[in-house]
This record gives sequence, structure tokens and C-alpha cells, in this order.
Amino acid sequence: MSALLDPMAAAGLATAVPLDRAVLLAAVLFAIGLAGVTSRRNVLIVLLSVEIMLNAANLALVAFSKVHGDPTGQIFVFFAMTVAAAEVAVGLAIVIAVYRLRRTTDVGEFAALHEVDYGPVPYPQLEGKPVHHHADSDDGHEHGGAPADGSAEPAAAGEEAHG
Amino acid sequence: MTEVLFYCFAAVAVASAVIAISRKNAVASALWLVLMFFALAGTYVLLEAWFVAVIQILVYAGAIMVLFLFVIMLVDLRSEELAMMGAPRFRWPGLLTSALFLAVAVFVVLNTRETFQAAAEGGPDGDAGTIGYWLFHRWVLAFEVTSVLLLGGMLGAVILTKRRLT
Repeated sequence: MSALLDPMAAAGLATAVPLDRAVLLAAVLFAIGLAGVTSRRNVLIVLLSVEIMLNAANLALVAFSKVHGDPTGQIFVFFAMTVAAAEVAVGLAIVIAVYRLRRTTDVGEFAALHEVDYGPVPYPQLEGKPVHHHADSDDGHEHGGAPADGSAEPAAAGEEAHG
Repeated sequence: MTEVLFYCFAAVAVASAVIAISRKNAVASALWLVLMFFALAGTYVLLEAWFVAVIQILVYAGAIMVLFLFVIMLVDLRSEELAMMGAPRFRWPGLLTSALFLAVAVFVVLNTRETFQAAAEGGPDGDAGTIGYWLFHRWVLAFEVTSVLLLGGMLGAVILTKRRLT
């Protein structure tokens, strides 16, 4: 790789690590985290991908702290890690609270903030299977007939429009 | 030598991050992420940010990932359900977005790479003494506010996971 023969290193100015390479690594890691956040459906893996993105930002901050000769970047990394710890604690608490309500970790199921009645959810019930919206569970939810009504209504409306 | 080590750490970090976001089992995902944190800590050492490297291992690979693993084991699917699932499906708009971001970021970095020179005086000393000096002189207010933030995060986590607020 010709990039190893760096003119900056020849001038004796650079640290041993080429800083543009470090920033490139940060960009690649951030893109990987972004892919995880935007394309996975498991909310735990989404949160893990957020951690990857935070780490990429930290790496960029350390590299730029080296560029500017200023320790402020490294101190900012310290604060970013502290905020990340608080964010993980609250985020995982929200995941547990939503899981208790929905019995799933699929982000597609997290759309509604209000409670949806899936029937009685005993606590703690770690052996229970997650209830999906299409599940034929027998836990007595009263809107079992709702999909049939929902599919019947557009058909009726279409008939009216034709008539 | 340092450059070779840097490329090794970078390869390990990128590979373990890709593996981490493509596992269907979140526990395996978290463990691969621990490997990525260690590789990044090695990168911080090579960048002479000693204090950040130690904090990375202590806080990220230690505390945060343990919290993650506990919650994953509380919440995630059983192993028989995992066996029934196929490989994790990626939604292509997300992959397209991140590929676009990667293209733009790499383009910007490659076009400004001659400005990425280390400072003439060799840069800051990243040891605990220097960081601690700045933390308790110029940034002492932010440091104290951080403690309030952590208290708020702790109270929020406890209240959110409580079953009944009575």
C-alpha cells in the first residue's frame, strides 16, 4: 500500500498513527452502526449499534484532539462515555418496560405509546412466548374479530363506489 | 510497527462490528461488540490517549456491556425460537442509507486528508494526570453536572422498570 509511505511521516511531524486513517476508521465504524440501527428489527441490536456509532464518534474526537494538540477532545470523550452509560441505563429500562407490555423486542411493534390490551400479562413470566400481532393466542383478547371487520369494510366501500 | 498495529486493530474493530450487527442472537452480538471495544482501546493507546483507553475498557467493555448482557438475557428470545428463525433480514433502505453516508464521509476525509497532521508540539499528553487536571479546572462544572445526569439516569431506570408506582 503506497499510503504507508506518508509524506507527513517523512517530515517528522506526524504521530505514528496516520490520523486520516483513524478518522476513516471512525467513518467506517459509524456507517456500520448506522446500518445496524436502520436495518435490524431487534431493538437490542439497534441499541448495540447505537453504541458502535458512539464509539466511532469517540475515535474521531480522540483523533482530532491529536490534530489540534488540545486535550479537550479527550475530555469530551470522557463526558460522552458518561452520557452513554446513562443512555444505556434508561434505554434498557424502556426496553424492559415495553417488553413487559408487548412481549416482543421487534421495533415494528414499538409504534404505539399507549397500552394495547394483549390480555393479562403475568409478571415475571420469563417462560412466556412473545405475543405477535398475528398470533392465535388464547389469552382472551376481545378484538379477535377486528381483522375480519377491517378486511370487510374496504370491500363494502369498494362496492358502494362501484354502485 | 505502530502503523501495522493500527491496521490490525482497525481490521479487528471493523470485522467484529460487522459480525456484531449481523448475528441473530443478541448475546453473541454483545460479545462481538466487547471485542470491538478492546480493539478500539488498542487504537486509543496507539493515539497516545492512555486515559481514554483505560476508561474504554473499564466503562464500555466492563459496565455497559454487562448491563446489556443482563437485559438481553432477561428479554430476548429463547434458543428454540432462535433456531426457528432464519438468518436476520436486513432492510435494504437502511443499508442504502449507511452506504451513502459511508461514501460521503470517505469522500470528505480523502479530500481533506492533508489537514490531518498532528500538532507541531506533538499533541496533548493523554495520561490520567493531564486529563484530571483539565477535568477539575476548566471543566469542573460539566463534571459536576454529569453526576446529576447519572443520578437522573439511575432514578429514571428504577422508575421505568418498577411494575407499580405506589
